[in-house]
Amino acid sequence: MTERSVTHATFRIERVYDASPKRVFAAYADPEARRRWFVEGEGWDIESCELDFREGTTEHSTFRFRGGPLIRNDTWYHEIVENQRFVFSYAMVVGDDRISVSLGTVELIPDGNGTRHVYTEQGAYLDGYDNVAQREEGCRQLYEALARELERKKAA
Amino acid sequence: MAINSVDHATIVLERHFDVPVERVFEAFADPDARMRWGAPSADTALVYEETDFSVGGRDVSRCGPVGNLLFSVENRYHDIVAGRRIVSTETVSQGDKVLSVALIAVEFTAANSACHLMLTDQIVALDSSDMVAGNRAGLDAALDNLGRYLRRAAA
Repeated sequence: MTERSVTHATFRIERVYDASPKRVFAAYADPEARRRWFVEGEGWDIESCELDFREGTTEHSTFRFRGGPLIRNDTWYHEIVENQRFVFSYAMVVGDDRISVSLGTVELIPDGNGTRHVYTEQGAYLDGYDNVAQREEGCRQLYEALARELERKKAA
Repeated sequence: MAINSVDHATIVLERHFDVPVERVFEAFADPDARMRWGAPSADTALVYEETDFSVGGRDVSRCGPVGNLLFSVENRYHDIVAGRRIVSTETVSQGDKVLSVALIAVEFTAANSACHLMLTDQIVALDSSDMVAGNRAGLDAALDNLGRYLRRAAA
């Protein structure tokens, strides 16, 4: 029988991007752009991916990391204010085990000609399958990938 | 709080109920039971328009002062372990405006023939809404009602 536990935690990641809030927002809203920086990555095999960034919608995707167990991500968008912020929740399942449910807030605050991107995750990490430090590190890598996406657009 | 502000908070509430854990869990699982104890006070009401207590399912309800149910609430269930825990997200709106979104985990622990309940509410309140204080007061009062509801049902 699975040992049941819930670890509650909140973490916050701030970064400043050399791109307007409008461009940063577009990197989320445009499915092609988001697939590039948010979904694809070395070692990740994407089995299914539906991106639909609108208030009230749900997104589902399934993938594996280096031939490992199937991972599922279900995301719900609760509130979206164009170019300013959005609130979403996502649940992660690895194999048959639900490992976490998180509430995420992304704030896009004008900062000179750029954008201060503030991500706050309020999470419930389940049954010891995942830990907060690991999740925070994963998110930092995502926001690094977003920096590369925005650089790429600038160069284009 | 200013316009465009975002306020994050964590609220933890605990209760001890002198009834078996299954009965407390059932009071959450059954929408008819929830309608009886979920409204914080006698002059407020909670009415379900849609209920589906299952993983991936949702409840849609209206609540507010009796005769003026101005808040619309969507509760989406992400994780349910019978007799152990319920994890859901709750979005509260007024008209088109989202006031708050909360990740709510309710954990039930059996203690002999009694139940210890821990509710953790991780909330984000949006734009000038006083939803952190509102959530705390509302949940606190609802859990007191739950205690009375369970005692009445046991009598």
